[in-house]
Amino acid sequence: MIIAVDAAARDTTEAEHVLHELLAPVHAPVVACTHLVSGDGPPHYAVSVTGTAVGLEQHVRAWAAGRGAGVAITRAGASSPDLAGPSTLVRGAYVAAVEAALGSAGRLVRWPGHEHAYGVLTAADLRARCGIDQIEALGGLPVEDDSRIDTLGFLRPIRRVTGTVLQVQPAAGGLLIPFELEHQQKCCADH
Amino acid sequence: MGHSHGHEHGHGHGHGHGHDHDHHHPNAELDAATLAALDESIPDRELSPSEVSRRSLLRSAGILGGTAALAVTGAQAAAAAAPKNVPGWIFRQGKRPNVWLAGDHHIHTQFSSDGMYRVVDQARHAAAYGLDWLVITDHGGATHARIGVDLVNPQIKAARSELKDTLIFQGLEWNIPAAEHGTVFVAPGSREVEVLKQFENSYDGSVKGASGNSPANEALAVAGIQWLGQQVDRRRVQDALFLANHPARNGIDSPHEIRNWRDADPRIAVGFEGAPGHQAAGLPSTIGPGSARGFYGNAPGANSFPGYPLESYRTWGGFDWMTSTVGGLWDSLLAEGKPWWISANSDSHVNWNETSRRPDGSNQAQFDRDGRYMDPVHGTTVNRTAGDFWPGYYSRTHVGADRRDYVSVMEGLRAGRMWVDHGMLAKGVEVEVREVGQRYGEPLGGALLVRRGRPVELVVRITTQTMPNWANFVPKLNRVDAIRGAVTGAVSNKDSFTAPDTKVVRQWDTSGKRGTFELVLPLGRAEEPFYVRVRGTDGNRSQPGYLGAAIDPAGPQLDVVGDADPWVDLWFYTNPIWVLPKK
Repeated sequence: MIIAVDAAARDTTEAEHVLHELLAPVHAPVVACTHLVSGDGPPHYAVSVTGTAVGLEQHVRAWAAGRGAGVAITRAGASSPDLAGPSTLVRGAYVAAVEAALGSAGRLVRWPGHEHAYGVLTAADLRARCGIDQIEALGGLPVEDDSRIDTLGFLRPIRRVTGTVLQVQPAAGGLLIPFELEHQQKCCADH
Repeated sequence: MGHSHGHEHGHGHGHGHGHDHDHHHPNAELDAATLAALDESIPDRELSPSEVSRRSLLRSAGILGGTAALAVTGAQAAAAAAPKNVPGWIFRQGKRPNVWLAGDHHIHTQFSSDGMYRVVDQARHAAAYGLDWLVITDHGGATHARIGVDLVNPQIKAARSELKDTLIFQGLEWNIPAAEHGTVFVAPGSREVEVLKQFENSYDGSVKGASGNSPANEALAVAGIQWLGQQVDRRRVQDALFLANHPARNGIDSPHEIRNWRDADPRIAVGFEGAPGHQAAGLPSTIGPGSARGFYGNAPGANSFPGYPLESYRTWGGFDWMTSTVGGLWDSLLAEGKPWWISANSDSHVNWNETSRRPDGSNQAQFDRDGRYMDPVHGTTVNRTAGDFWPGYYSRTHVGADRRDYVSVMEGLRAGRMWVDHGMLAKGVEVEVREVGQRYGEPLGGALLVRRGRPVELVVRITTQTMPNWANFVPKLNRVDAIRGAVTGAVSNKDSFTAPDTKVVRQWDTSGKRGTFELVLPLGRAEEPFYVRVRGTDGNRSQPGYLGAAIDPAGPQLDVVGDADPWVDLWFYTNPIWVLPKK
């Protein structure tokens, strides 16, 4: 089952907050993603949850109805998904559901293996144990099996047709760190 | 360092990285194969094998029957309308500068919600660190539009009379609708506040709630630039300029937006920051913030242009990727044969290694009420996590002017008679393109009109640094590069950001040279229009350019988050000179 919700999150932080609320009652492992919705109206993020978690659907429906969010819920083998909510947001939820079904796009927040992805790991470890298929570094920097990657406790790999990709950048001490850092510099932040 | 990007990127740019087509397409998220798989009016037999497999994946997921959701579309107006009554592109000829004036057009004070210093704090340090002119650019926003823009003016006027030799402009940091920030400033005069205030209230993205990407917001930005031009036409202010700030930081200044600003009124919109401020931000955490140089540390967001690669979100040798990439976005603008200039500024808010702080009780609520933070006080401790340098301490924009006055500085900026450097890398850089045998040619920003077939040459006259910089060492200019590109005319795709013909054509080893010396590069016979620009470095950090070693064998290196000491990675960049053959 894929449950996709578009609550018009303006950035990935807001989208992850939506996921956090949707997944509050869930203890079973799921795949959870954020999805960029850029094709129509203001660009924003929708989210998807793939998996079979008891009670999730009911919780999501209530949550989304209370906030005027768009929802797309798919069941394997059904002829069409259940769609609910305002049409502009249903569109984003549907896009997220399609991307989740294909597994070819989206940014992973939870995925099989994420529970092992903490601390400093080698590229080989990340690929063997953490559900990462490829590691790509900025600026043409090579990534070897024994390249050390400091996860900084926050990995957000992306999905491509070719698999799950972790994008990294060089950091102090010869380490690699994730390209996307947990704390993004706000536009006018007090720095 | 191995670098495999050249070919892949060069190739990919033309084929399916997603920025060749209009990114306002209603189904921008889903690629053509997915859309075909979803469209049940297309029979399976007409799909490719991969489309068929996608369709079966979608069918088994139970999602195929919902495509009606995709049909919802909102207004998808075309991008900002083409400007009317645009004056011709500004190429100035024969304007050899009489004086070079160093300055900074991006400085914050206590009238910014993230600032702290008085105007005179900034101006006095700027003057002490060697700047001749500066622009006070507090953030646009509700509080600033309401009272800040008024309140800062008496401080600016007082600083002008206090510091007689320093030119202090009033401006603001415009939240460009649908895009990043930009410097807007005007020539001093009786209506400087009135015009800036009206501009901010009418066109600031934050004041107007127009930050997000939309055709209407993009049009508002264009209208704002045109409005500034009208104020000059109506003599409400003697002059006005706009330069885009930290353009690649968040990927939200798309190529077509930059082109639309430039084309909105080329008298007003003249360039962008080639190097952003916050140059101390990458200092290692043992002595500094341990962040990304320039605070360029973000990942793409919802409003980011999807065609920009991740590399564009970081600085390279302290410079913005749009400028540091030879054959990249800046060159793609220059290759159109239209002026677009680069600058370098401090973006000073709170300076690294400084002891002052805001006083107790000076908080956001107090700022919102009073339009300013209270004056700074001695903080009894060193602020190592601040990421900025004082104006003039590290970044300088050198403008060739006729005279040492406000209007001449603005004229020099508009004419592109400027070069920028970090850490006082060079004492003087004069660049000229001349017909062989002639004594004088065109200076920076100029266009040499020459009879077709005549031989022309580039002359770079360097005066090496004799004074120590503000890190107290005398920087060494060890290499100078000449970059050349064909002028190929207006682009058909306003979102293109490569200039395939532009590359480094000469590298001079200048190590050990002292005093003033000339580098001369024959440019052949002038048959087709082209431009040249110049870059120099201490040579400490280099790697093949983002578009490959054939384009730029030793360009600036990608800056490392938390390990970017700006003093050991110094560059200067000049603006271009055009060569335009006549029949």
